[in-house]
Amino acid sequence: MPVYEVKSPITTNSTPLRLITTPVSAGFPSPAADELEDEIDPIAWIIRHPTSTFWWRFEGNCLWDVGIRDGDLIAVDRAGKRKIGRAVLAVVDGSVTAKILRKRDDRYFLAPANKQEHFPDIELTEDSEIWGVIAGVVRRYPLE
Amino acid sequence: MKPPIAISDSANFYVSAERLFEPSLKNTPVIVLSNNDGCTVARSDEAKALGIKMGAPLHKLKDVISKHGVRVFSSNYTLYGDISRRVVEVYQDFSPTVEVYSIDECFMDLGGFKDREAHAQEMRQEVLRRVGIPVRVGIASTKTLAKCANDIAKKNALFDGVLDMMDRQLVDWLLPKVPVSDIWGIGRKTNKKLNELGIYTAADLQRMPTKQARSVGTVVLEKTVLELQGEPCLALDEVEPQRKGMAVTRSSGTPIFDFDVLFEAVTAHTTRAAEKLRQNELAAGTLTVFFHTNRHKPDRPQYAGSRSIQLSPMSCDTFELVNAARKCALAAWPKAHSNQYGFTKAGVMLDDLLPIEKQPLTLFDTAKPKPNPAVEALDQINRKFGAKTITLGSEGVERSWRMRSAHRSPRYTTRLSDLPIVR
Repeated sequence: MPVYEVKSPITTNSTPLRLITTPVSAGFPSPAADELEDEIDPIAWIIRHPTSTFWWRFEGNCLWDVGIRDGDLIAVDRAGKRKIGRAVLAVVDGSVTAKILRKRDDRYFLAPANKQEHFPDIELTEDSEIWGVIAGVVRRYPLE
Repeated sequence: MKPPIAISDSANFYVSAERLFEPSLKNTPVIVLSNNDGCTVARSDEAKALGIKMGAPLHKLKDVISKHGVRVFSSNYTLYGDISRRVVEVYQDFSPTVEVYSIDECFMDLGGFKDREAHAQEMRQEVLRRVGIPVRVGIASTKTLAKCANDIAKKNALFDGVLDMMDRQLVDWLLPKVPVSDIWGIGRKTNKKLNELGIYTAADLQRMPTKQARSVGTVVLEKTVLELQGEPCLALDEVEPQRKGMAVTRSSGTPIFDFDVLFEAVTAHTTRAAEKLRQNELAAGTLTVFFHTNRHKPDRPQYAGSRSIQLSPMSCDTFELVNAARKCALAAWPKAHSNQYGFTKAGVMLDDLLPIEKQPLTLFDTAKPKPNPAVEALDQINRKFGAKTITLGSEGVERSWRMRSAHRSPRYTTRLSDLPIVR
């Protein structure tokens, strides 16, 4: 609260003087006050299921054609539906890999998405497991 | 009918959490060590099969580890805490009342669900699908029986992870097969006393006269007997009880011979305790500092020091608390031959806790003391940039007292720098 200086002494003869110290609001209320909204949060938009979504860092070029680059952060949703054509995280022989889920002749494959470089398809066996479905990609670029 | 209570717990929870981000750990023996890498606190089934016991100290496991390729982890509570939170979130979709009992166990109310077993099975599958953690469920009319059902489900694969013991006949059939030492709350001493009285199984204990139970093991044992009879004595606590005291205690990585180093550790523990106070919006009225030498090495000089101080006004301010802790530590420091003692444990306890807004004013206070802006800044910076970005100078830089956690996995889910990598 601002402090106002009393320039000269105030005197009184038997009349009580009262100092009212309640702050008084002045000025106009913001016309936007009723219309304020929360900031946009694209991460919350990517994450549909917070409980089952985990972030991973992607390395390599095998998903280049679907727009996932080396160093990207990927949100992986364990509760995402496993559908043919979706980018998934899978566990094959104890190691984790990110590929596209494909199906040929009733057999499931993990396929790369890169026409420039050749990566072999991996057939899904009983021991392999789909860890989750890629829900979104986050990347940033240098500014300085 | 009494409402059914379920307890769900995770199988080898810490190991399951480690396996989530490192699938190569599947089907391999894995152990997780206690704070300071002292002893085993979690074992995978494969590690159990190798005969590694709960609490086995690491230095005695060297041979079995190298012979069988046992994977060893320091405890990563940052990770386990985050995974535990997610598991609880799934439980909350399956029960309106969930009581978090420990990092890997929750009690919940399953009243009103028609097919409880199917409901519990679906919950198990959802936890596994969404969080990747296997859990098992025991259901009964009391917490003690539910725990018992959970234990049976854990040990017998035929129950497929869920045992519903709401049926009285099932209880009567199963309890004679459960050793009394497996019952919740029956420790080694009570077990011995009960065995001497001819009580060996849970069914024997269920039939124990309550008066006798009370004289053998106080009201605690009496309640256990009643609970085994199906009479609920332990309510489902949804609300975390308000803490009356808290402590931060750590073993030191290397023995401390020097006051300044001890005070570094004490500063760190006090800082952490003060943070916990503020997170819970509490202030403390009493602070205690204690430290002692290694009790397991009686041939070395032994010393245990402890001092308390009343805080007036009550406080949750890091600077004030560290100041008080310094006074305590100085007063408790050995007066003679101090350099012969190697202190291996130090801790800070805070008692007489009250919510900050209920904190009494001292005689000369006119208004509620305002929070120290420096402390607020400290919390904000450490929250934004990670723990220990800013610390008090007296915490030191070298931190030789820091706990050993040589095998800790990355904090996969809480740090950008620690994200798991996929190719």
